[in-house]
Amino acid sequence: MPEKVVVTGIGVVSPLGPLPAFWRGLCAGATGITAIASADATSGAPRLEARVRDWSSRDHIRPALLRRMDRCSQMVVSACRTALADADLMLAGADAESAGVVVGTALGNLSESEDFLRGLFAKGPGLANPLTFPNLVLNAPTGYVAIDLGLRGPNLTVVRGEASGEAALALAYDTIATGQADVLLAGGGDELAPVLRQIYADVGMLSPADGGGEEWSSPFDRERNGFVMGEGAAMLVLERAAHAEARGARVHAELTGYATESIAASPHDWPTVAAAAASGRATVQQLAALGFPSGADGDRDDAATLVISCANSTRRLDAVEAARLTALLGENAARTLVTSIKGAVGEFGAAGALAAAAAVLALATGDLPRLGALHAPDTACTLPLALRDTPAPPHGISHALVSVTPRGGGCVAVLFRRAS
Amino acid sequence: MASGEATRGAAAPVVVTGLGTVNALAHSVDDFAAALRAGTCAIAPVTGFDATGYRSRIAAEVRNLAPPDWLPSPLRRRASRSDLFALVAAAEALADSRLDVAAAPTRIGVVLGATTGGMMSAETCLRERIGGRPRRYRKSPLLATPMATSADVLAAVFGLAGPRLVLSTACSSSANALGVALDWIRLGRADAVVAGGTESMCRTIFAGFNALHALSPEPCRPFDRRRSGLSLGEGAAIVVIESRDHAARRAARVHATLLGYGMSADAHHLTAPHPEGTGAALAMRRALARAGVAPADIDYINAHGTGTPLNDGIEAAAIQHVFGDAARRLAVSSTKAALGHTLGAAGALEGLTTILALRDGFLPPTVNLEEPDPECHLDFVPRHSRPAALRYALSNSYGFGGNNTAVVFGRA
Repeated sequence: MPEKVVVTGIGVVSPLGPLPAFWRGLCAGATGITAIASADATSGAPRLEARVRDWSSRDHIRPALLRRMDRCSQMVVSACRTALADADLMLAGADAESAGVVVGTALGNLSESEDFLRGLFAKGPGLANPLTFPNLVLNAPTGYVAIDLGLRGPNLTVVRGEASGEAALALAYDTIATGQADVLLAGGGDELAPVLRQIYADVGMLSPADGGGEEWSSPFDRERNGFVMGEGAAMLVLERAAHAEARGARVHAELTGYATESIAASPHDWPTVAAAAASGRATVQQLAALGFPSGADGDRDDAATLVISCANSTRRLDAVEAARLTALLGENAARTLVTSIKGAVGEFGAAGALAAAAAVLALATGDLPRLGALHAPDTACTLPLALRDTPAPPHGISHALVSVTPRGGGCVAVLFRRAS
Repeated sequence: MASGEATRGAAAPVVVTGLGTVNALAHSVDDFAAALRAGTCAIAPVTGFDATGYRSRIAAEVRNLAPPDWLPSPLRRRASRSDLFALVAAAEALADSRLDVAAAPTRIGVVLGATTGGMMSAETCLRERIGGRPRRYRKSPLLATPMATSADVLAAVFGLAGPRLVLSTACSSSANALGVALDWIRLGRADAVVAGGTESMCRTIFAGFNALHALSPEPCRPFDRRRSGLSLGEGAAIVVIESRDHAARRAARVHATLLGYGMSADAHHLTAPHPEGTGAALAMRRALARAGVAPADIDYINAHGTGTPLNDGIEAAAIQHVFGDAARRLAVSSTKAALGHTLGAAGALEGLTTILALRDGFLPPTVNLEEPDPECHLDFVPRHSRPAALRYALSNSYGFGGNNTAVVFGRA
């Protein structure tokens, strides 16, 4: 019998703002992408970005700790604080002794890493700042979460590129299933760093270099031309169902489990569209065991299924995801709506954590994130997309799947179900 | 479907059937075991970059490792140094295990611990950019930089199509990777898992520890009265683990059993351990409880033992706290005196050391230990290895951020 794990709290720091604005914006098909304040229009450098807004770390973190903390850690700790407040959960005593945190991040504190190295190259090792270095370590955010909240349980950081957020939720599920914690804060965070934007620009993945035209982000669009860099953090409060029940907690949704699948790919590149189209069987098998609806189901209600895809507005990945989801959903596609949040929050390693927060909110409210920028879907994509004017499903949403196909082909799909 | 179904459950015994390593002492497990017994120290002057101006100019580096002939040509060019270590160690572990990966590729997972990936190449790229050639630097190494790619590289080269993960919890990363591998087997997510850690030297880490005054100018001396800091190292250790039933069905050679692990957080400070070692003690207690092994049955502890004044004293106190009277008959040693601190690979290299100690019946020494700290009343196996029949052993790993992991192993 798989362990029942529920989501009782959500905390978000995002380019759309904190939780209420994040969800309102996603449902309205709004975007958090704005012009870079300092962009030089003549240099050919990217002019757009999705930077977190309406967030002040001072509102969440005590000054003594905040002074030492890097920006990525600040986002993660703020998201944890708001998630616990949302869960109405005070972790103390035995609860704090076993409670832990699992964070997914692709690159962590990249901006200070760059500063540290620039200083090292310019001035030599003698002047390197000892206070900066501990903040460069990828698990600095989880360390700060434990210090801030007094959590003495599992303290884990996973690094899986574009799948970092999903991988963290998967590991958190297992960590509760193996009895190592009753309560975990799980999700992820990544920050927007100029050096990373420059690298992506140089390799031609940013809009508009991946297709030409105006700079924008519109997943699954016929005219998509690359991604826009984003940032943010989202943390969920996960509880063993019995623990949540015992304290009378409000349950937003159930984390049902996850599926993994490897698609053959170069370790540094996405799988081909053909490989993605031939994939899906392993995921379908694992999801079926978790109760994910399939076309063959005879007795299911009329509630819809939502899939939040990692599609990021690049020519390649969106085609790969469309092929993979078409194969994975099969006949069930007719009762499914597919969406992506990358047009709203941009692309970053831990974006899957924000997608998971959106999945939970969709199950709790019955509404869904819409592809606000989409003008004309890619003709090769036959998936039922959540467009700007797509109404909320009349019977709500019963299952929400967060799907990611990262470079290297190690796919993760995290399944949430409406609270019973 | 899942051939592991029959043994699913918290108590399912899990065994280690394949071993592989590349480190500063040796490029194979046999040579590594011999070097541990001989008490060799691999810490020597740094050659990987110009270490002028640093407090310490020594480290335990991997020397003379060329990309193997079997490596596909794009990877020969692109694989980072960390990836290369992982590839060579995994090839040895898989060959040693005689596991037929192609028979059920989706049932073989891969989980690694790592902290810096291809950082050294990224540093060089950045320096070239700063040097005023923004469009002409080599971009391809950057795509191989993030440490997530080490697991992707192993999956691609060896056809491992099961669950895939990279953990980065600083110096406990690959101890946690062993733990996650154990959980995957017990949860039925995989029949076998290729698990371990890989780490290569870079300037960022060297400069960071230098700035923290944590580097020792002399080869580190864990648990010595005169210890003055740590020495850095690099390398990889990879093991193949599977359920005992799965191993028995294919008549695999069993090196040791992997019984359980325990995690805790200090919730105290990002770099300094809790002064009373409560987190370290909690991790050991949790590991023993999950492994179902009594403290009195542990014969050997492979310590985190970095050689910094603070760590070693607190770790020794935590061991005494957990083991009480039984601590007097325990042997405790630190492999970091021989291999340096290999950060993301340390948990796996020290796990491998512990497995070899159990399998071959010896206590690995704490090399360089001349004057045991009188404050630490433990047998640290100074300088020379000793023969010993061991029943159960535990390996400690503590990371930045104040996270602690202990892993419990048993004899085959």
